[in-house]
Amino acid sequence: MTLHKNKLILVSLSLLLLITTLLAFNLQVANAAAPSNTISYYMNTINTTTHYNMGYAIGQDHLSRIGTQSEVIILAYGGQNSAGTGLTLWSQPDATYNQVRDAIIQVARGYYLGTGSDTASRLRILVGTSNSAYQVNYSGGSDYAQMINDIGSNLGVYASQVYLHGANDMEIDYATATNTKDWADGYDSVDSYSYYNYGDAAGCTTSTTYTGTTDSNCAAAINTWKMSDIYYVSWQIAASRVLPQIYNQSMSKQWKNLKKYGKVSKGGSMNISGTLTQQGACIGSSDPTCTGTYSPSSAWTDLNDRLNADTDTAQTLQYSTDIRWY
Amino acid sequence: MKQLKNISLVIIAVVVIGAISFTSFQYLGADAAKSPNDNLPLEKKEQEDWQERKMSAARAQNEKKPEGNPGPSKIQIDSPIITEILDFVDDPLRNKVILFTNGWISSKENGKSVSVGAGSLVEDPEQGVLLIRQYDEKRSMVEANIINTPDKSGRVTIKEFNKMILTLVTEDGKELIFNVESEKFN
Repeated sequence: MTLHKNKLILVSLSLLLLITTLLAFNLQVANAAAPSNTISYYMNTINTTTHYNMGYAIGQDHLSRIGTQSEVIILAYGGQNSAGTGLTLWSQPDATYNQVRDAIIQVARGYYLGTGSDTASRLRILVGTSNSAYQVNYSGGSDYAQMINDIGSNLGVYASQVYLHGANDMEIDYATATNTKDWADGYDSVDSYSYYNYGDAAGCTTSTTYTGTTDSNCAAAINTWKMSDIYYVSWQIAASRVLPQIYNQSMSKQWKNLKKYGKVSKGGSMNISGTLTQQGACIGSSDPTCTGTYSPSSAWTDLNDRLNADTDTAQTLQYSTDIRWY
Repeated sequence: MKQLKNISLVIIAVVVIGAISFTSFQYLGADAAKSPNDNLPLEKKEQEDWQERKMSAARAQNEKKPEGNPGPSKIQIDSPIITEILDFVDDPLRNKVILFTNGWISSKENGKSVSVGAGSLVEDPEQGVLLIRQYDEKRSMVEANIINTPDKSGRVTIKEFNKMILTLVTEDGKELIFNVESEKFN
């Protein structure tokens, strides 16, 4: 009787220990603290001194911190211009691809020099355009990839601490899915460096019971994409990665569902690299989309917890960045 | 004696299970801390690994960083701003907040500049609207305002300009005069 009782105690204790361990691990992932966010910029300028100083300041910041840093920034130069020669710089005079190249090289130089004796820290630079303007087609994607390749070929020793990527703010209401996928195919045809989609999933389902089996429409104000379209340009195509806009709870739900769709319907495990917020761009702004916009930590935590509450979407979210106007 | 033996077995078993659990916890935790590239599909991993090798090769150059802050290696400045009407307005608010028709940009004193985007609100296409962005001498955007037209006469388009005075046309053909300096309709 005593032996039986002891066996019972043994089994119970073992189970308790195992359950506690598993719970503790899940809690660690689900309740992970948001990383400190970087500042990304809408860029109106290709002034190389400005770009160098930006990189240098980030390098100095990394040097001042304890340990090895690895962060990401997006520098968004607007869509590609009508002439096919460069980027719009938003409303400012267009910049040529060579001018953007030279500006980015100076960011890399500034970071490399700013880190000083810290030769381990890294900066991931995402050189951003959008599907909002012109050249949203195969040759536009190819041209953009060529510019990124050109930047990479000219980084020299700065490449010892800088990762380089293209980036595109792919938004549902900026261009059609067909045109945007063509751009992605064009980029993929010649790229040496992957691109990050830092766009949205406007109109996609926000249901918390979405099972991932339906390729639903994402009907925004102007255009309608399919979930498969967004998945294609964000993960399915070899050149793509994704660091989406998480400005509010709806966006967090949309991207969780997109990852679920990818897993269940496509058999792919889309890795979401981090979260992009717009808190900085909203300071002093009368933009109505700024009401209730997420802080960087809230966005990261919301998406992290949402992803890790589902075994189909569980992952580690690496980065947090917040965009503002330069 | 037998009871003591059983208690010892229980204690040993708990310690062993605990050790296994702790090790698993550490391993799982360590797994999460492995390179984020490890779980990528092959094509993506190859691309990331290629950049890692490029990074290693650059590091192997063992180039000594110059001391201090030597500044940029190339000086490049922005193109001058020509005051003109813009056929296309590229802006993060495009198609999300504002349906733009056209725009305008002008240089101002001391290297500053201002841009105006004209159109209507996405949420209320009857409401004409202007987006004014002010930039300092370094092209840094310092202020932005969204200004509604006095009446809801549909989208507005910039027809012409005279210095900082814009003539706008509404969807129903009405002309409006807008003073960019004061950001007010006359």
